[in-house]
Amino acid sequence: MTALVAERAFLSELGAGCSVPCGAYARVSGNEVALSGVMLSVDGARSVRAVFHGDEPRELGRSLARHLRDERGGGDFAGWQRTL
Amino acid sequence: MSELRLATRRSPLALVQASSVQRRLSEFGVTCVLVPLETRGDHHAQVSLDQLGAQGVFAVEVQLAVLNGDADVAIHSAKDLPSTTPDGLSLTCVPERLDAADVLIGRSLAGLGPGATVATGSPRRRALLLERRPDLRVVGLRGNMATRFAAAGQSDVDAVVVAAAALERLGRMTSPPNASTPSGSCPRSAKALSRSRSETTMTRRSSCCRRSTSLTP
Repeated sequence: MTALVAERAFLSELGAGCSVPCGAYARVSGNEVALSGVMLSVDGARSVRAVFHGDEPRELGRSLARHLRDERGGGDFAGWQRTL
Repeated sequence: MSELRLATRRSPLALVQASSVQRRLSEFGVTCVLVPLETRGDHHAQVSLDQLGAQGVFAVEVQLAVLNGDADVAIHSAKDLPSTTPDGLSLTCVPERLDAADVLIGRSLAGLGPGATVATGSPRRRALLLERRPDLRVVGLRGNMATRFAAAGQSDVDAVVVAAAALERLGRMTSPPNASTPSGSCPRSAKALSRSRSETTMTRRSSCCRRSTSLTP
């Protein structure tokens, strides 16, 4: 459940269901969550990835999404748009 | 205790997933009956997910069954769920996660020639494929697993993308993938492509959470 909470928080922050190219995958070890995230342009030509570690899955998902979208330029990809 | 009604999509894969939850609950002494439902996404199988637009096209009807009192619990594939949960429902439990990899059926990624055609209906899978192989021609494909297997056998498609977990649930995996690494090795005909989120989750009415049965530690 912890993994899913982190992944869903990531997608929720991006306003994404399955219709925009982004994804997250969490691994849980003890209290620590390692969350990998990716945002891509529709044509796959551009992508940003990062792995965040933490013990609060919801905040982890949100902060990873903000990092990729706002600090790494994922939100500027052609064809990528927030749906919320 | 009366029977617990489990709402689920009616696709073969969804029924396999729901049946596995049903079996796990029976181990706790909970008798369940499945309530199979057709979702908008199933009904409009010829329309691309992009065109269908709204999130939750495979989930809304299943969730409504719980909200309307026609079922007690809804069982979903996690990737079908909108990223926000409707008022009145809560995510209550997640069974053990299977292999989260996406796999190619037909040819491996390395085995695909320049300009080969790969079919998938998922924008995420499409972008991940094109990221690694910009030369590929990615065409849309919707439908259940049987549809995708059929497409993989057609002359105009070289490979289709499916979830490793779906193959495993349907008993189509010829040998188990390397479960520890989502990007790791897979059977000859099924090359690991990328990660996806393959979990089955249950939602139920918040107001009827008296029983708390955990399927995972």
